[in-house]
Parts: sequence; C-alpha cells; structure tokens
Amino acid sequence: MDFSAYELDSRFHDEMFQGQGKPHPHCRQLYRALQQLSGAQITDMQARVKRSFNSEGITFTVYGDGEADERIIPIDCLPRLLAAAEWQKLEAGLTQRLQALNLFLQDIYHEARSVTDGVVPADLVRSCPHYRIAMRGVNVPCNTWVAICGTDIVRTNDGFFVLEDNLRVPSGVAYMIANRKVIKSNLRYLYRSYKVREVEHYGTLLRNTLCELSDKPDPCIVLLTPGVYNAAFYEHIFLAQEIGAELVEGQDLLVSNARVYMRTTGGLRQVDIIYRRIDDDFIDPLAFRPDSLLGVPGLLHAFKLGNVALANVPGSGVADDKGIYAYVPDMIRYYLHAEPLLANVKTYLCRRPDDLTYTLDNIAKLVIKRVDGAGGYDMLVGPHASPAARDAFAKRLQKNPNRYIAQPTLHLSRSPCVVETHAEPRHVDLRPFVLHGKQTRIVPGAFCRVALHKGSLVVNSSQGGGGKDLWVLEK
Amino acid sequence: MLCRSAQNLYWLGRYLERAEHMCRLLRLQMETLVDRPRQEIHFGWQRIYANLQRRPPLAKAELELYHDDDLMLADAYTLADDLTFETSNPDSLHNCFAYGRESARQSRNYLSFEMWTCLNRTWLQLKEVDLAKIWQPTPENFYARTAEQLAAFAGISASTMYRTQGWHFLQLGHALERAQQSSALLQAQAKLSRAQKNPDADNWLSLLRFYQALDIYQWHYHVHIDPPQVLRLLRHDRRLPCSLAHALLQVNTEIGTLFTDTKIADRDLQQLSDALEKQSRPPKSSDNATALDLAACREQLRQLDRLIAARWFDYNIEDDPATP
Repeated sequence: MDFSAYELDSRFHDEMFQGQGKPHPHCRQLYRALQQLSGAQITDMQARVKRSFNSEGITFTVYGDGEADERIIPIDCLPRLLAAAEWQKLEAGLTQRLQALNLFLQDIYHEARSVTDGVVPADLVRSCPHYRIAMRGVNVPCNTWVAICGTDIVRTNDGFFVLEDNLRVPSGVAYMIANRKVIKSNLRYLYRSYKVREVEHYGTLLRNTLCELSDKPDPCIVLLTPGVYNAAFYEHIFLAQEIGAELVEGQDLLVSNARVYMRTTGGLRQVDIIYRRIDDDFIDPLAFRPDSLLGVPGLLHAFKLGNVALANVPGSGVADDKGIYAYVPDMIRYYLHAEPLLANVKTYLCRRPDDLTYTLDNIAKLVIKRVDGAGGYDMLVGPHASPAARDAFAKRLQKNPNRYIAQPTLHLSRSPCVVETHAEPRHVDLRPFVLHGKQTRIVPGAFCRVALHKGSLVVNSSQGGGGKDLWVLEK
Repeated sequence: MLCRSAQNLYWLGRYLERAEHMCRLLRLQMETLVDRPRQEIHFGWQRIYANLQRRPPLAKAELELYHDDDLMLADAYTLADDLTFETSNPDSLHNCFAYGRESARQSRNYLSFEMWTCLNRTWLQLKEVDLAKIWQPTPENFYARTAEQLAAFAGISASTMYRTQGWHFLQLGHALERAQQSSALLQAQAKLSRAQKNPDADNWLSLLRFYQALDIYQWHYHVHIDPPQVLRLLRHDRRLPCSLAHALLQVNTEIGTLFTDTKIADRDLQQLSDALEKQSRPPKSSDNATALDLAACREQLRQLDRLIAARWFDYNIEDDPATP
C-alpha cells in the first residue's frame, strides 16, 4: 500500500505515525504489513468488507423524502491501534466517570446535595429537558441509573478528552463487533501476530450486568425497540441475540397489577428486566408523552414499585446534557474525592453572559452545539461554516442562549484510511462502552468513528461518517 | 415465544412459498414461449391470473389470444413484468420477497445466521435487476435460479434452525400457503379446461410439469393424459411433495405440534385442521365434485388462517388463563 502521499500535520496527533514514514512503536508491524499489500489487494479487501456487510444486512436506516433507505456504515479496513498503557488510562478514567455520573443521578433525584452545596447550579438541572420530576425519590436497583454508557473520546496533541457522555440509548456497539469480525478475517495473519484484546464477549458482559439489576436467579430480559423503522434496528436485533432476550416493541408488552408482561404464544409471561432502546419521552404515554404509540402504558409505575428493572433509567439524560457536561470534573471531585483521570473539553455555557459574549466574538473559531442535541444535528463548526451560516447561527444563539454551549474547535487526531489504492489521513474519535451494575465492566475496544471526507471533523454515521476497527493491544 | 415473532415467522413461510409458487409458474410459462402453440401460451397466462384472482394489466375483461407472434411476445413481456417486478401487485415476486425479507428481519433473532444471509443475498440480487435485464437471453434461467435459492433457503433452514416453536410456525406458514396456492391453481385449471370446447392434453401436461409430477404420473398411470386422474394425483397423493394432500397433512401435523409446544388447545382449530386433512384423502368423486371441493377447501384454509391468528398471534388478553 502506498503511503508516499500520506502527509503529517503537526496540528493533529497521528494515530499511526510519530514522524514522516516513522510509525509509533506499536504500529510498526502494521505499517510493514500494509506496505506489503498492493493497491489492488487493498481495493479487493475494501470490496470484500463491503459485500460482507451488505449480505449480512449490517445496516442503518436513513429517511429522506418519506422513503426509508437501508445503508451500510462505510468501514475503512485499516485498523486503528491503541497501546495497552493508553487503554489502561482510558479504562480507569471511564470507570471513574460513570461512577460519578451514577452518584450524581442518585443525588439529584433524592437529596440533591450537589445542588445545595453549589457544585451544580439548580436551575441548570431543573431546566434540563431530560430532568424528570417523575423520577424524584425513586429508588433504582443497585443505585444504577446508567447501566450502559457510550462515551465519546477524542485525542489531540494534548492527550485524550471526553467529548460527551451518551447515557440514554447509546448506540454503535454492534458495529464495533461487526467491524472486528470482518477486519480480523481479512487481516488474519496480522491479527494473529498482534496480541489484540477480544471484544466479542460484550454480550455476555451486558447480560451479566443486566441480571444484576434483578433479584431473580434467572430473570426474563427483553430488549425494547421502537421498531423496524428505527435507524439502529440492526443493533437492536444483534444485541437481543447476544444477550438471549426477546426483541419486543411496545405493543408486545402490557402492564397489569403493576407488573409487566409480554404476549407469548403460550400466554402472558412476566418480564423482569427491560433493556430499553426507546427515548424517555416515548417509553410510557401515561408518564411522559401521551401521544406515544411506541411505549407501554403504566411501565413507569411498575418500575417505581420495583416490579421491573429498566436500563437505563428514565431521567438519566440529565447527566449527559451538554450543559451539565461542563460540571462532570467537579462531580468527580465532589463525590469521589479524586481528580478526574480523563479531561473534559473546555466548554462555554452560553447561558452565562460572559460566555455568550465570548462565543459571539469568537464564533469563527468555535464549535457550537445544542445542550440536548445529538447526532451532529443543529450544530455549527465555526471554522468550516460560511459567514452567512455563522450569522444565521449567531441569531439563533442570541435568541435562546440557554440551549447552547460552545467549545474550541478540537484538533482531532488522524488515522490512515484507504482512499482508492493509497492511504490518506482522516480524523477519528472513539466510543468505548462501559457497563455498570454491581460492578463496572468494559470491553477493551470501541466503535471508532471516522470522518471520511477530507478535512471533515464530523464523524457521525448519519452525516457521512464511517467506522474503523480499534485494536487494543495486550501488554 | 413472542406472538409477533411467531406471526413474522409464519408469514415468512407464507411469502417465500408464494414466491416459489410464482417462480415455478413463470419458469414454466417462459419455457412455453420458446416452442409451444399460441393457444397453450394463452392458456398458461389465463391459468396464472385465475390462480392469483388478479386482472391482467390492460386487459378489459380477459386476456387476448393473439395470432401474431410479435404481439404475443410483447404481451408476455408486459405480463411477466406485472408478475415479477410490479410493486402494485401484492403477489409479484418482488413483493413476496420484500415482505418475506421484512418478516425475516423482524424475527431475525430466531433465524440462523446462514438463513438470514441466504435470504438477504437473494433479495439484494433481485433488487438489482428488472425485466429488461432478465429477458435476454433466457428469462426462465432467472426464475429457475431464484427457485433454487429458495430451495437453498429451505435446506439451510432444515439443517440450521433450532427446532422450537419458531421452526413450526415457519413450516406451518409454508404448508398453509402451499395448500392455498395449490387448491387455487387446481381450481383454475379445472375451470378453464371445462370452458374449452376441445380440451388440450398439453395444458394438463404442463400442469404435471409444474408439480414436478410428470414422471410419477407416467410411471403410476400411463402415457395417456386423463384429466380427472391428473387432478386426483395432484390433490390426493400424499407421497407427492407438491400435492395438496401433502400440504394439508403437514398443516395438520404442525398445528398438532404447536398445540403441544404452546400448551394451548383450541377445539375449533383442531377440528377444522382434522377435517381438511380428512378431505384430502382419495375420494370416490368425479372431476366436477372435485372442483367444488377445491373451492370449499380454499375457504376452509382462509378460516384456518383466521383461527391460527386468533389463537397464537392476536388473542384476547382477557381469554388468557395467565392474565393476572
């Protein structure tokens, strides 16, 4: 494979090279192996990978003009490598962070000590659209509000930073495993020669975590999906299979005597644990949005009485609000009496007058996001936006500053990707998945997202991003 | 198992069986275009549309018998397109696959990996072609290949699918659809033949070919084609896998297994299934009586479908003994 046109840029950390033609020590073997491959072999491999995803139906759904289109997430077949020490640091930081977030959620829905003690502003919590009054005073199994977390992490020349925590219905783990499966079969000898840590046992870890949320020895677990039209439906099927659960829709469940049942061919069967992939708003029309047809009427009542466990618990979204995000390091110090092991990105809360002024003055340098946004929608990447787009966004911002935060444009690290027959650098991030029940579990891997267009920083699959396999190496 | 998954597997069986039926009909019809008389080709199209109870495109009342080969071929192209790729035709091959694949997608956690990839690959191939692409040089190859892929799916299912209720709902769907399609086709054949002034033995020969039963007929009976004898073979011989009797026996067996597996009994469903199975045993009746039986059989199969849905897929919660 031709790396001659591969240009390093000192502004960006490169995941493979420490200097021109000089790979990081743990990437040397990969570099040598890739150099042995001809352009035609690389093209063939890309085509094989694509065919494999297509025939296995590893897709996500995109809607446009009323037509649903099933697409595969484009995958780049060059793996990204992470040395054991790098992963160790991430793992410790992620564990610490999720512990603090669970303590924060338990706190704000009970005594709210962190608010009284001035760690997090009360109005920021209460004005958050994901804060659920209905959850105040509710006790949850193992005090676990967030059992499954997907944290977005980026690397710059200054190290790793947490970009955001996804605590409601984090997705992408099925693609992490699918990427691994297809890449390791295509780079079999290289994979074998590297000691790569496995990720395929994620399903077992997830099942064990979910089982900890129930007292029953063999609980009945279901995965609640919004249905076949959801963009992540493939992942729902995959996970249901992996954890040995029924894949149910709201119409398959009913609540009677504050217990949840599913309709089976042999009659009603009580459900003990629900891994829900439906947003809070839609999960129970009696508690949240009354027009929801996707949820189960009375589900929240059954949950509050302890008759069914929910992962993740409704109301957890308050902790992944982009405004609250700025306070996570303080939460870690407050609840765990420790310094954060993973840093946050500097965040300007536009609700503060000074931060708003700074944001408006420096709009061309900043990335502006909605506090409750996701998927790369309703955001502005200042340096890449036209003056007209910046002006339009500034007007929106001034009209409703509480809804936005701003962050400096990060110099996301880059990793080699296949472009035709040669390698070019593209920006990447990673989303590891953390599980939390009675203990915290993390598979050594992540869904590595790639901005496939040259120069682009947007890695979201719904906006032209793709995936890459991440190899976490053993010591 | 979950009611909705059971329903999806049942319908997966039905749609794939319908697709296979359509493939076999069209393959046979495409073969007749090569060297058969125009009357036989015309009869073939009439039989297909009568089987589907569908009005052919552009036909005001009934299909026209052309005396010009070019017109006949142009007509065949339009009709084949209607039956293969027309998205507004619920029974077109394209739609049978689309609905079947969707049912499979929604119950994928019950299918083996190999079953899913086999079906998905066939669907992706079908999506890539249109009639113009399959028409040259030999359209019958396309239908033969698609039928082979469906047979491969059935084989993979038999060798990889876990034998729980899911398997039995899939088989029940297959068998019920086969019985439904078979009775419709036999009824169409009998009715069209009666309407002919000089019934043509070739139309019965092609029917035997459709059922892959020509050799068996000649072996067990004789070279001379006797329509009542043909109908009796195709309807009542359980040893013939495509026969109506075989399908009805399988329906009855699967229903019995599901009663045991789901620990649920339903007297109406059991009685109807038993009655259908009994009717498929060799009769003493004439051709005319058989045609009447076929109409009744189709109606009973529709009733059976409703009872299956009411028992296992869409039952009343209040009727469920487990309701707290």
